[in-house]
Amino acid sequence: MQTRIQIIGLGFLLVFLAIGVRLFYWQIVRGKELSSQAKVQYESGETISAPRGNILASDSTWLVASGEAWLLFAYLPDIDDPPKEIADKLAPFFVVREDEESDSEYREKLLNEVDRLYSLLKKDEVVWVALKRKLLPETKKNIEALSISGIGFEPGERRVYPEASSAAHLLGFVGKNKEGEDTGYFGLEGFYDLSLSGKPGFLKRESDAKGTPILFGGSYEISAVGGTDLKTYIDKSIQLTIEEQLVDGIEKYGAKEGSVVVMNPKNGAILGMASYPSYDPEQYSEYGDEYFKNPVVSSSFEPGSVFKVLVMSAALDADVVEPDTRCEICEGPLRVDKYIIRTWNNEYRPDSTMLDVIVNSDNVGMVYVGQTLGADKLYDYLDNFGIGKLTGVDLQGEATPRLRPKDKWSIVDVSTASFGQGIAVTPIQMIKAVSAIANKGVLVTPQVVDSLQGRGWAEDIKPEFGERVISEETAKVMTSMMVEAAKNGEAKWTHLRGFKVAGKTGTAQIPVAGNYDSEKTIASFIGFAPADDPEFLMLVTLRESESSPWASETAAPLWYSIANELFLYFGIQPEN
Amino acid sequence: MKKSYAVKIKDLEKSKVFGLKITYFIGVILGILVLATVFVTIETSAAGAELAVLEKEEALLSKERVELKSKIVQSTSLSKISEAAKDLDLKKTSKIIYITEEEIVAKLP
Repeated sequence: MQTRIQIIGLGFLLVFLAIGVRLFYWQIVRGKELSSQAKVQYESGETISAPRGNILASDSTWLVASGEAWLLFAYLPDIDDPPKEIADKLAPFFVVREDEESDSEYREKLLNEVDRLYSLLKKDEVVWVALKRKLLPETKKNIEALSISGIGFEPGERRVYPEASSAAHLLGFVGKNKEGEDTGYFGLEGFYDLSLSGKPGFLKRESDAKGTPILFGGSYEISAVGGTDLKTYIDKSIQLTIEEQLVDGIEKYGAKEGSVVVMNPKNGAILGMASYPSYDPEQYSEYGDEYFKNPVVSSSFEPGSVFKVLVMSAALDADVVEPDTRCEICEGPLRVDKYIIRTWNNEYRPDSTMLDVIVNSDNVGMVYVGQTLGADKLYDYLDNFGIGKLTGVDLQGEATPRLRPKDKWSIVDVSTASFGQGIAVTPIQMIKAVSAIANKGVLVTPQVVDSLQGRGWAEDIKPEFGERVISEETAKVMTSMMVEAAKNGEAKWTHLRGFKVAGKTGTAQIPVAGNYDSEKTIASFIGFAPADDPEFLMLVTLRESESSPWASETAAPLWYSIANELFLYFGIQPEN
Repeated sequence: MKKSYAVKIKDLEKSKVFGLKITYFIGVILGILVLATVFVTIETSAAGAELAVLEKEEALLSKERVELKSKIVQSTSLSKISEAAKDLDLKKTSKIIYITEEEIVAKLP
């Protein structure tokens, strides 16, 4: 009996010892590892997405919206079907057939896509692989209906462009940076990338097997902060009008490129900005880098005669000439150093007044103005007009050609700059400079965004007025000279009778390897209306028009064609 | 003065009763604590389940909001409205004629 009790006791002892050893093994030896495995089971952590801000037009409708998108992935260990079969099933969802595409072209694209998917699904060294990003919800539904095992979706975000490629240069696009994160490039997306980008949050907490949160357990949350919305001054009606007209104009005049900018000269609000050729920001990867630069803020050109209004304003403001001052050198071609300066039509009007010089766009007359003003004063005025400086427009990618240093202006430089050659500007600089004439002598910074809007808050971006460049009186005189130029200048045939437009044409030759191309020109027209109380200031530029090299026959009629619609839109009535 | 035997028995019974009362009291307290723990556990589990339901509902509403926003974004597209206008054969004014206010002359006979 005693022996039996001892054996049972020993048995119990051994069992307890075995349990102790096992517990020691689970708790101490593998404790950390098992604890972390358990944590994975009951602790869940997820990123809370922060949507990118929207870009809104002036009427608060969307120019760019943040939309739903999905990432399609494959978890390779769970895949049951052969990879080739899956690739065959998925490929048609990712290949879009273009209208002009032939059957063979489409088939080739499809086969390439099948190959791409197959190579991803056959990867040995990974278990998870992304198959396609930015899928539309409808595509997701269709793929889900196929019930392919091992295929899953992760929520993502995409940019939605309700107006398609409209204002592409102005808006920019969202691409991936080196880390694979969404980043804004060019235009507003680039300039306001920090504001538009949201800050994702994180939620970590314990939950049971069914996924129900355990409130007693620990939890940790960082709230997501959504991106800020940008409310712009862009008027969709104006934007679509100028785009449609620009494309028509480019076709009609056989131009290579063209741009139109419409601004309210009283507060610098950019109402519309269009350039052609353009691109589709949703499919940006299909375009070359050269399409992304916004010519309005990034490309410089020799402005030609539109520049004359700045030089004449400077001379009037400096009191070196008056509208009725007579030109003393306008009787014929003028020799400056080794160059001969001629008028655009080789017609000469001795004793032209300054008004005649502007109306007839007389190069020789402008040389007289420039030389009378002198290099130093000309430089100072141009500097004050913002030539050679960034305008400060809220768009990424603004560039500026440099203004020749003050002490480096020769007589030839002064003479050619007086009629807008030998000097380069960007269209936005030209708009800003002329805004001073339209805005009673005070510069105004072009501005695209009106306000930043978050959840429950809004921050107004106030118009930025610069310094006074010319007196109010000079601005008034120059405006009346521009009115005369529009009415009686070389583009008078296209002038809209009854409307008080202050405008000026410009035809500039294109410098090629140190010389000017004899045939290629950049035609432009800048003007504002109504001249006394302008509602809009508009610049139209056309590059290398085939129908005519002259702005009076290309850019000017296009300007008036757009203005005709803007008059109606703004409710501007003819004077008589 | 020595207590009588009867008094001693009475004291003993009193202390027994007191001891029993303490035991009952502790028992009741423990019972309340156990019940409270069970109650709180049930409540938090229920709240957790409710939270899960609300979160699902929130996700659903969020999804619906995204879908509705997408519809509004598309329906406010001016390009699409223009296309629809073209389909309806609506045309832009090709020529605008401004009329002046008629001047009244010789109104009275």
